[in-house]
Amino acid sequence: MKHRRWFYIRAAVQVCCWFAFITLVVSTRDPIEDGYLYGLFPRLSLHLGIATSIAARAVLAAFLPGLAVLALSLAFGRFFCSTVCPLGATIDASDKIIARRKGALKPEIARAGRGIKYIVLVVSLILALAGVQAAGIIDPLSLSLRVYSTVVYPFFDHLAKLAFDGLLPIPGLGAAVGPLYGFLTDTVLDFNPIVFHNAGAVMLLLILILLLSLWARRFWCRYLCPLGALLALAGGFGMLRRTVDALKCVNCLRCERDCRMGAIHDRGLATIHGECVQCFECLKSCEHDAISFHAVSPFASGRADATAAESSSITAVPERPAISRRALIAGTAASLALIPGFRLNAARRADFSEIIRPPGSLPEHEFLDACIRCGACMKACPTNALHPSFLESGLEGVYTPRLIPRIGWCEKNCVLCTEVCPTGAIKKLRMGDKETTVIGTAYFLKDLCIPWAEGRECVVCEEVCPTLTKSIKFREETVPNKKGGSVRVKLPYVLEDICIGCGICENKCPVRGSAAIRVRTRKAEVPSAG
Amino acid sequence: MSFGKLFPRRDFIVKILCIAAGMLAGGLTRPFFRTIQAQNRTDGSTIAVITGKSLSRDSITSMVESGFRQIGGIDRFIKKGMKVVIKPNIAWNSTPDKAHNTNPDLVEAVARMCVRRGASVTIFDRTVNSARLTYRRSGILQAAQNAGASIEYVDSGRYKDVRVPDGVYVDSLPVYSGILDADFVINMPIAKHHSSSRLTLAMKNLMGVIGGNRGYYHGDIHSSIVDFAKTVKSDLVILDAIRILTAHGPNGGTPADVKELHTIVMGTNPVTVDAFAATLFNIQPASLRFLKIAAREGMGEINIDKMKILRAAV
Ligand code: SF4
Ligand code: SF4
Repeated sequence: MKHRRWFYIRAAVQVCCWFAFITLVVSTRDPIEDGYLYGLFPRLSLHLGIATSIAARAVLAAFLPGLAVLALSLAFGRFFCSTVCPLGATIDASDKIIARRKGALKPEIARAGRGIKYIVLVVSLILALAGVQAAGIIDPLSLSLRVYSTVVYPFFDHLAKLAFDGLLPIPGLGAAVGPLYGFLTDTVLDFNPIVFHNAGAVMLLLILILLLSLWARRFWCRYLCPLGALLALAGGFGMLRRTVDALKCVNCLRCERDCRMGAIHDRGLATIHGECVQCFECLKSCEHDAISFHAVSPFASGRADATAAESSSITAVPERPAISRRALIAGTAASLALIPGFRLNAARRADFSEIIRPPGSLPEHEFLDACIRCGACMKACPTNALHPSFLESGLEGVYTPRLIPRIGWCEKNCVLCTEVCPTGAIKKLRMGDKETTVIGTAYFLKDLCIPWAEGRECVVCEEVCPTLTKSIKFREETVPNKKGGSVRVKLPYVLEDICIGCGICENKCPVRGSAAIRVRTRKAEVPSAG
Repeated sequence: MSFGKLFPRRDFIVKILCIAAGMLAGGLTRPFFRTIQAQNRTDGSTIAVITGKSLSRDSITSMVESGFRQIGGIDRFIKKGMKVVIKPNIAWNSTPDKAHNTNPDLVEAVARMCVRRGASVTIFDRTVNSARLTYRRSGILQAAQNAGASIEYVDSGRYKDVRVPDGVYVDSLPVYSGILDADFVINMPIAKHHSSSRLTLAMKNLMGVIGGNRGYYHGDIHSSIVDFAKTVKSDLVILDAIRILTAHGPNGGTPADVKELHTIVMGTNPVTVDAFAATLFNIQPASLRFLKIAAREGMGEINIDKMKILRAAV
């Protein structure tokens, strides 16, 4: 109790980190001068760093912050999970509602279950070796950035808009909240509500993770998180450790009951160091001030201050986590089963792909390896053009960004997504190069196109086409009109060599439902003869 | 042939003549009265054409000042406390040198003069490209800040249906309420080539405050443009011909397509201003269908010889 201020200090740090995270999510939008910061959180994940480097066959310097986290963990243990990790913060908050006080899992299962996260880690890395980027789907940092960017932010954006739509027309009140609305749209809100395709599929994973807490608090962090596994390995050697003064301890088991990680055992006396996330909840719980955290040799036993008398009663529990041989074998077996599953992917046949990637994206295969599915690009896009795919590009492409022109087009003079992408899956583009970066090619559906099908003039697509000399041209011809007669009308067609596939034509096409001009993926390069 | 047979026939002819005369009278008076209406409001056939020396901000500012002097001084238009809306063309995410959007220095100079007169000035347009990026890259955001005016992002929920008086193509149009609530509307188009209407000038610029389906209006763009001008009043028109885009408009073009004219055209009737502006492209006003319809509808003078043109060079 005496030391409980440490708990509150830690909680305050966690809240600050969460706010920093939210601030970055919200401000991932125009104007962006330097995109580095917006990918900071995913860069903190060494799990992502290692997996992506393996998958992309290149050491990605982008993940240096992850190394710093690792170094700090060697000193302070697994502190990251209880302070910096935004998924951890989200789980902590929801656990207040969802988790039951008493662990519903049998102790043996709870103990053995801890090994699962190492299997997950091994699977993730082996898949990466096989060129499958599954790490991005499950890593807590890309997961939280993705969820907050494509689900949570749009949700609150809509909510605010609804509130203001209700308030603004009220006489008197409207004038008062009007400036506030203006300020908010200038800073955090989007005045055109944004919406993401497949948002439900993105949210589902988070909901599952939160619901797991029905069986134990921070179930995800204890049993499943691959980054947690990595930090547990490092944190096991952490020098800042929970120690119990066995003379003061009355074995009331309060701390054991309150520990969100289930890291305390042996009647409150012992700690599994890699599992303790330094949340200091136990400092708050202990009414006898028997617990303290201080530097201990990294090689000391888990029961630092247990007296000799107690030590005889210690049961065999792993005090420092380690990847068991069984985990390694199980992980390898699971990966071998998963690899072909991920690879069964029509999009790999480039000529079949229907997925339009952001401008500057690496070639499809390399893109799939390098993209960590963090969603930063989607949040940055000012026209709401980029959306998380779900199974459209196969299991391998889950949550990777795709451009859906009917919802938003690739804006000219915009390189925001290329700025914020933390891994270089989208290469940085200079504004000048962007103008000629081809992401697809437009084509007409003449059965829908107004001049072709109805013999009425329409020039919207040509009007909005941003290429310097216009990729859409007309030829005047006589066509049958709807009344059975014939009319002379300007018929549009596409100059494929100039078209960059930005999709603004498809977006603005006035035909209802799907557009009469659409963008397909760039034409496959025809190998030149000789 | 007997007289008796002719008589009823003559009666018949007289009747027909009477009806024809009546129709003729009706046909003449309708546009006639409307012309009078338009002239009462605006004295529209007077325009000021000001040429400057360069693209510099100072030159542009003195062009605006001189323009206001020519047409009777700003005090004639702007009163203290008025809610003034400036409607430039800011549809495209492009820099000013491309001549896709109204020159920001021009907008700034006009806005500043209105603010100095004690008016509150709001600037907006329905952009085609992303609104936030477009406002910034066009230079309008900065211009508004410099002048002490505010900008507004067009909110898709704030359109009101307005009846088009004697609509040529449509009976009613959704009009942005921001412009309906204004005390004074300054229509500030840039003169440029357009793929469907050949030129986009002051009348077409009003499309930016009309909601609804763009494609529908393009079905008969010329009649639509006339209906826009009938529905939305422009109390003052300041046309930007400082740089004009002569091909691949409204948003394309190579540097060769941009011509520097250092000119602005001011007037109170968009039809007249547009007719004059057409001549800057060496286009006969009467060969532009929207101007021909507007003239037929009695909305303004399109014959250059009948305009009162006040020229000044600064
Ligand atoms: S470059 Fe295109 S896809 Fe990328 S953020 Fe900008 S508009 Fe969106
Ligand atoms: S492409 Fe988008 S989702 Fe993938 S890593 Fe880059 S920013 Fe994140």
